Amino acid sequence: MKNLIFIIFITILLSSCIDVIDLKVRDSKPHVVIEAILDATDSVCIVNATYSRNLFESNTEQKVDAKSIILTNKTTNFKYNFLKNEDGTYYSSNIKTNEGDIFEIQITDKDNNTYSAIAKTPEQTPFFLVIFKKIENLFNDKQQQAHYGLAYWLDSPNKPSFYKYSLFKNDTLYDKSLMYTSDDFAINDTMQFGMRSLFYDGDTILFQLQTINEDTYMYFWQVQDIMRSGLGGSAPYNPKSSFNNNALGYFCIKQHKNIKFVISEIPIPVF
Amino acid sequence: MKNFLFFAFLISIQICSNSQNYTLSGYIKDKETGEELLGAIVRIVNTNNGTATNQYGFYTLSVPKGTFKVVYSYMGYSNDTIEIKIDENIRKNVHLERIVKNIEEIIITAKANDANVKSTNVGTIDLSVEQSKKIPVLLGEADIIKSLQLLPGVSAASEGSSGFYVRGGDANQNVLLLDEAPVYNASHLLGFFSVFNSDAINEVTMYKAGIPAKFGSRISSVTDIRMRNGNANKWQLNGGIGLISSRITIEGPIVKQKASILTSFRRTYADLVLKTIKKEYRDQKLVLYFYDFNFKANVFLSKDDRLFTSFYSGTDDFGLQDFGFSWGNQTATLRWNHLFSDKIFLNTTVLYSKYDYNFLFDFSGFGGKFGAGIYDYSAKQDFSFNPNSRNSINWGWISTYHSFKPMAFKVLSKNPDDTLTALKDTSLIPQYALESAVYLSNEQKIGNFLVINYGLRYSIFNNIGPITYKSYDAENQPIDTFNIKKGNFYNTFQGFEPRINITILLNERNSIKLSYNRTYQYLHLLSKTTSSNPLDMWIPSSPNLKPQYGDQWSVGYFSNFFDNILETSVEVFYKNLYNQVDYENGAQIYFNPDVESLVLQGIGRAYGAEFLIRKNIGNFTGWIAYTILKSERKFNEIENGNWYPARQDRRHDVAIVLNYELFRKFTFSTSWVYTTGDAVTFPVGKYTIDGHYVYLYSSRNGDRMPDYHRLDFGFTWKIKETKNFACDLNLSIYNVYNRKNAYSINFNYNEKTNNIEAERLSLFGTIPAITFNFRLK
Repeated sequence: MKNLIFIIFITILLSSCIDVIDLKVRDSKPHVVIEAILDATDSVCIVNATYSRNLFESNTEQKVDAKSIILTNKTTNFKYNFLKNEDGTYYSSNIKTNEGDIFEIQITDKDNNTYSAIAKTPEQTPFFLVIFKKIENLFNDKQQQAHYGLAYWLDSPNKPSFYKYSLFKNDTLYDKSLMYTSDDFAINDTMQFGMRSLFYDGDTILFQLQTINEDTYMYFWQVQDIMRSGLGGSAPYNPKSSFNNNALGYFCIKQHKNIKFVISEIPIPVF
Repeated sequence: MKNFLFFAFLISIQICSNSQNYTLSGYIKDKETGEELLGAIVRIVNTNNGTATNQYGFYTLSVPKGTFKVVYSYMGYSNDTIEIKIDENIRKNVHLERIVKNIEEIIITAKANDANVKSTNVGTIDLSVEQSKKIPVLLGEADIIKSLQLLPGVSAASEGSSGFYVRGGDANQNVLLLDEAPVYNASHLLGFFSVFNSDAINEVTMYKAGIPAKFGSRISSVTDIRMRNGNANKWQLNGGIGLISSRITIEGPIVKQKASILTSFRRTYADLVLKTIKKEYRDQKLVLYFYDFNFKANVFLSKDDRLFTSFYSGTDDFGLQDFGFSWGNQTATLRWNHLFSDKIFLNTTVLYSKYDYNFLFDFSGFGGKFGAGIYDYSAKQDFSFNPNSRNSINWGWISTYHSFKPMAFKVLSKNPDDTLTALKDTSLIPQYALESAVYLSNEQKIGNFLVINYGLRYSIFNNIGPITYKSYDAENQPIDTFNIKKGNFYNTFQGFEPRINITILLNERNSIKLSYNRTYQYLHLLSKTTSSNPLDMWIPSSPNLKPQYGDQWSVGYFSNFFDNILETSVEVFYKNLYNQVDYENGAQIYFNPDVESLVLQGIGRAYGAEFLIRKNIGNFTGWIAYTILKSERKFNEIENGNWYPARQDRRHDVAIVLNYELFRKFTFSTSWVYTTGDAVTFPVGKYTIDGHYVYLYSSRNGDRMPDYHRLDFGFTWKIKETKNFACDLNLSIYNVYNRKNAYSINFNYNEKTNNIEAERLSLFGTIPAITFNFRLK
């Protein structure tokens, strides 16, 4: 009898399934997609411009051939030109920024379509502290142990701040999820980030904390929102682009600080 | 206004002119159980004078002096013809006897054979629980909500779901009343079962259009579900042992014919089975079940007074050793029926309804809880006055105090080393409101071929302090804050809700019916999902959120054939919906104190036609229902302010239900459903942002899920039926041909093919179920 009940339950559980289907979706005309990142700390701006593709098309990106790219500091009215790095990728360096400076970027493609966006330079990235904690008896195995890390920093009071992180382990981007937060999550003006990873002795870790402009934070929030499904998921939509003229993408101005360290037996606070 | 006064004057003249009549009144009951028969027919032979019992089984009929033959009838019961001498007001209680032979022939209507032609109801479904038990359903658990979903104009929100759409409206625009108390979330197990245990239910009436003036609060439909009173003549025990749940019902007289009680309990036991089978589940302290408890008692205090009380409690619990999630409804009803005279009937009710949920967790080093809920306290009175045989007047009032407990999160324990401590206590401000309404309606017979049911409902909604609320600018930024003291009314919405139903009897077998109704809905459901969801959160209309309201026009042609054996109807409807709710892109609706600023309000419209062919009598019964529908929404902020399809814009909806009884011992039943796929938004392209694939979307709801269709089969074998004991075995097969209907479609990147793939999630393949039912009496 017990076996019969078990078989019936398994039948029910297995009756649900996930399979790949051949679904026809509409084609769309290519949209220009621009990722423009002005790194105020490194005084560099990199623009990556591509076209969107049909859903089931090859993943090979088609690059946008930019006729000109101009970055203008609207506060000082100083303009910067860009050089081509490779197809679809352009850069400009020695860009002078101050907190609060407004920048406009204008990209003109070979068909003379111009796409522009404006962003405000965020405050400098605060100093932060990383603490490691050793976990013993990992997975109930006395032989296994690992470390996890926590980053702390003080948030500027009375000023909205937006943050993004990158985490590299042994020179490889370790956590590929979009990681960002805002000071809405500050507790007594203290921000905290728990690294969603386990590290082992000898691992080389690079942690980068960025302050970003609000529009970029909102853009990534919306990207994350539409990636979610199930409870709390939204009706699908396109994230609000920083660019006009139907271009997709964002114009990010960021400041950042990095910490690089090697995991050792003895947990050490790293500044 | 002048015309209205003149009209009222004419009515009063007509009422007075009939004042010399006497009144024939009483209860019509089941002879065996003493249960009141709702909607039973009383007719004076060779006249057009007749009426039906109300929702409490009571009838009143105005009759001139004389001796008349009166026929009492109810479908599935033997008619009772009684000669009555009328020379004073007479109270006549009648007990009708079930026709055993035809007991299985009762189909979705339990009322008179020709009620669909002659009643003033348009867009109304009366569902027999007996029949509902025969329709094959998922896991063999009889479910009245699943049965309603097989009728025209009603469609399941998703596979296996207890949520439903009515005539292109949203699922949250339907109110379910259990003994008059609203049930806010009628779902168990994420919607796969409804909270209504069919053993405890007497009758179900759904109003899709022509909603009577006594009902309001939602703009799509009202479903009035009445619990059984319990056998007033003798004790009996009913029960069922199913694959996933079992149930037991005990009912009987406390004082024969005077007072009876019914209590019913149902519980699932997936967790018990799984824990028996696997030690792992025992170690993890698996909790996975739901239960329902129904109780009802009634007593005749005198021949003019009767008291009822009913209670429902249902809870879902799901958890392992480090977390637990529970949600559920509770309702309570205390009702007093009083007859002032044979012509005036009063129902006074106080109600309580609660829906809430709690999530509790204690992961290593971090514990917390969150939850939300809504609590209603209501009082109402409904009067019925039958001044003569041509008018039936109803009036009354209802007032409901709503208490909204918004979603709150609380940290219970915290380890500073834990990576999740960025979470902190979050609590939104509770809200309070008072929703009230008064109504007046009259069902008036004009001549022999015209019946008009007209009424007016006036509803008013007040937000009440204490609260600190904000106003917002166009960018959704708070611009002002208002502090309201406890008990102060700080905002009011109100509206008139006219209702009219007209029935034109072309002859005994054909009628045309027209209806118009306006309804207001002052509560809004914050939810981004289409299926039932325990995290449903209701919020009130407020200075930042206007009430929804809708107008519906409906026209129907009703025709019966072969001495009412075959019923047919065609209904055409058009709805205008106002202040519909959607959200800004990226709106965070949970734990957000400014959530009202993210709610968009727009308009909607839905129109279509419903076709029904139904055979009620004979060994072979069933129906074919077809709905063609278009439902659209329009928001300034979506699709550049153009109309776009609503998710529930299901163009074609077909349901075929067939039952065949063989030798009174075996019943075969089958149902087949087909619906056009939901309107959804699929990606049309892709691009890369920060190393992640992001999908490109075009028009909102411009795509379709694959069409849905499914065949179910049921078989009931009456093993034994004696005077004191009956039992049967029910076998059902859900999704006979194993159709992989898409519950959802997700688009994922496949590293092997280096491309995007469409993945279909199908919930249920072919699922057999078996249930053993018994009755000791």
